[in-house]
Amino acid sequence: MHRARGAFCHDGWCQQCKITLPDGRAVLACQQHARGAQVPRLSWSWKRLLGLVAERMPPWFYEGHFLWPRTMRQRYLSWLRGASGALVLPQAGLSEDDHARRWRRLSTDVLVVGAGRSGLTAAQRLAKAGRRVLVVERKPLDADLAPPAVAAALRAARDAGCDIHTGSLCVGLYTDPQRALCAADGGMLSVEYQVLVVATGAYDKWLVFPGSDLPGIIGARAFLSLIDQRTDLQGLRIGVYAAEDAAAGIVARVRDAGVGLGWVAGPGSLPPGPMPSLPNAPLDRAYGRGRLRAVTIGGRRMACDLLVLGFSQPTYELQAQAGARMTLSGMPPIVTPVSQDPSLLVVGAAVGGDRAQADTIARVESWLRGEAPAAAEPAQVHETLATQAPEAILCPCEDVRVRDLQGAIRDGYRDIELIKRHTGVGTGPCQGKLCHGAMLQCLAAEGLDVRIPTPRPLVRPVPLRMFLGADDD
Amino acid sequence: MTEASHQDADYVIVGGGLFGVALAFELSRMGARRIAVLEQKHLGAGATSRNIGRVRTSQFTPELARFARRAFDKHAAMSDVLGSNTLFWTPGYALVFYDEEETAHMDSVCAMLEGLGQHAEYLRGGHVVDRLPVLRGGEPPAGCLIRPDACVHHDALLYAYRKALAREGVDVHEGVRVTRVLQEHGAVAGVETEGGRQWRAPVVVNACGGWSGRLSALAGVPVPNVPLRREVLVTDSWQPFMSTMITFYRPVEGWFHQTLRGEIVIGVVDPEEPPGLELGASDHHLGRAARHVLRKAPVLADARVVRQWAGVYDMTPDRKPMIGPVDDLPGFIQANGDNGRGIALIPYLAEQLAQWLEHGSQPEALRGFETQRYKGREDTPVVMGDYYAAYRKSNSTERKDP
Repeated sequence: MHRARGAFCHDGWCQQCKITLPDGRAVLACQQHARGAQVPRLSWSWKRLLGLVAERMPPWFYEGHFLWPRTMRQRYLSWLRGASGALVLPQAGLSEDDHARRWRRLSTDVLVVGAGRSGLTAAQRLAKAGRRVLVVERKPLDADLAPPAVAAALRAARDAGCDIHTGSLCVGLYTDPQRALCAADGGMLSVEYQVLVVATGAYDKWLVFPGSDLPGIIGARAFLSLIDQRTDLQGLRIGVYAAEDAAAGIVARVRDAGVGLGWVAGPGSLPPGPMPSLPNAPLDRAYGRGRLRAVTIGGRRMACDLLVLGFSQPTYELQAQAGARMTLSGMPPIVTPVSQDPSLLVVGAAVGGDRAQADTIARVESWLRGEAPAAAEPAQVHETLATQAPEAILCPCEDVRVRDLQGAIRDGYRDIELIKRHTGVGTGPCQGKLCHGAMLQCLAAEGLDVRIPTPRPLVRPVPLRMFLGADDD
Repeated sequence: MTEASHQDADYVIVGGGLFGVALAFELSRMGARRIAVLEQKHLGAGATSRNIGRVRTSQFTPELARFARRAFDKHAAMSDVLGSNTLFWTPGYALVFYDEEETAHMDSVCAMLEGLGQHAEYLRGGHVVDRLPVLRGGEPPAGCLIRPDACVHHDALLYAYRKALAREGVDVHEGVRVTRVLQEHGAVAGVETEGGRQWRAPVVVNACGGWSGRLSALAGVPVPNVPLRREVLVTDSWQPFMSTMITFYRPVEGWFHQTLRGEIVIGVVDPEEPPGLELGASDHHLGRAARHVLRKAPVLADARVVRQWAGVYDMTPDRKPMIGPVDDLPGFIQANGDNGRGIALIPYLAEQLAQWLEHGSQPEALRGFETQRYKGREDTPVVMGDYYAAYRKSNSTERKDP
């Protein structure tokens, strides 16, 4: 990776902002920014210049190259390897804390992943119905600091007898018996369960258009969290490109915080307001050298330093691991799991859209009555930006472009497993969270099977040291 | 393709993994024209694309080591033969030892390898971490550096074969599942695939790797082969900091190295792993990998695991491949039993087997891999668990053979 990349999601999903701190630690810049640390900038070096050349080549560029003269072959491979833009592996070794880690094994009837309002509401309802319920939540959770609705749901869930484990990120599902593995600071937590409730919410959806990987393009959730942290955004020209259902909310939150917006645009209709607005307009392209300067929307050039993308991708990673089939639905299309598995219940924003508490309650009640999960809305696949912009980067982890995918398909790599291996698409640290949507669109446009590569643990990268302390061997 | 139809061929190769495409390529290079490769899923769907591509010459018996050396030379030439870069890379290979018995045993193995013309450098004390700095801070090992051992990109190799096959005009039929092995007059007559389509040929090759037992069963041919799951995990990419590929056998067998892309791949074997076609990854592997690898190389503590998966080995009791015709069913050819060394041996195995099939006499190099060696004792168990024990056992049973 030789291109400057920005923090898009500010929540650890997109994995684009990994940096090395002066003390040698490798971290996600977005997580440091929240703590007020300075984020170093990517400097110009020979590797970035090399990146400019490498960018023009397809991922399979090696196939016909680096063979002559024969005596140089091993040298070429060493050079290629050395030209990696990856960070230096921190050499901290193991500490006392690492040796103190212990895996814990628990068992429950119902495992709820995600302790937002929906997860906690579902947990409380299921506990009331007589199930043993265990809740895991990746963040720390404090009833005094949480928003009132979440705090109330948290108290209700605790009162109903739910066992709530915070600071535990569910990273993988395994079978025989069904169990979930959660990464926690004190050691891994393995939970055997009968029923899985996924309440992991949604994350900012990254869009694929030329220039969409420029630093300065961030997700709406990330943007709103910057506002909540009172980050200084003075002097930045801010543009918002958002889905119909998200735009009004973003504009209202921004207005309340007193931050000035340059303009608002979107593929659908937009709320009325004082700032320039471009409804029903496609996002064509972003411009800038090393960072965002302007975008063209519906043919009009709009200056901006910060582009906020207001689209959501419901989390689907756990459902996929649990055996759900993936399809595309909505506009712009999002990856949508389809499952009729009675031991899998999805609630809240992970279902898609903004879900009220009543929706969660209805889903839990219907599930308790033994009704099958509602069938997914029929997938609508449109010819969209993603397939019309061949030069756009589709997989930012591995720098795979739309044209690379299309080229691979033309070359006869017509199965997603082959496309993945031939182009490297979706094999980086985000494991497809940014690219699966556009990948499926390309498959659909070519009339191929719309499916993602075999879903596997982990949901997010976890340092090897975290797995120490297993009790079996 | 729902209506019953049939197609004639000279060779039907079942299994579109590395062995299948390599054999098709070698046959076609020797002039065979009508070759059908049938793959039930997609190209390389089984063990081939779950591979890590180690091409090691450091085998534990002279017979295998000699064969592996020839296979290595074949690999080194593959980029030229196929006209496409297979990313054949020779960073060398290190065996590291953590107990005395093992060190003593490996002394003789290294001497044997040296005798075969390998460069095997025995390391003790501080020399080990001098040469393998990634082990700094871990338990002090003894070790053996073996050159020239290599790593090949399994997908690059597979796709290079694919391109070459396309040039030769050989089709790989994907999504075609064999349901029956056709037999006439006591010999093989072809196969039938789902939907009732028949592929008629006097020769059917079983190149199904871990799935070969199923095809053998369809053909009514008893075999001792069993599939065995092996798990892998991969981390995110980092600047290159190690190149030598490392393997250890005690207290359990495992290995790790950094790939050309900078990821670290790790596998630590579960000695209790039951045989079977299980392809799921397990959480136990994460715990086992962290414990055994970080004890040896604590600098890897910050590498972040992004994905885990599993593949299957096709194991035989004596750890040697099953290559060649089956006496009781003329025309049925075994090309499996790779015991986890498939990628290293296959290009050479395929070349030799193609010569056998086209010229009709067994090449010298394939002696010892006959499919008949377990005739009448197809129920010989495959001993799993400790690597050395399996070798010792298989060698001692061999010596008892008349």
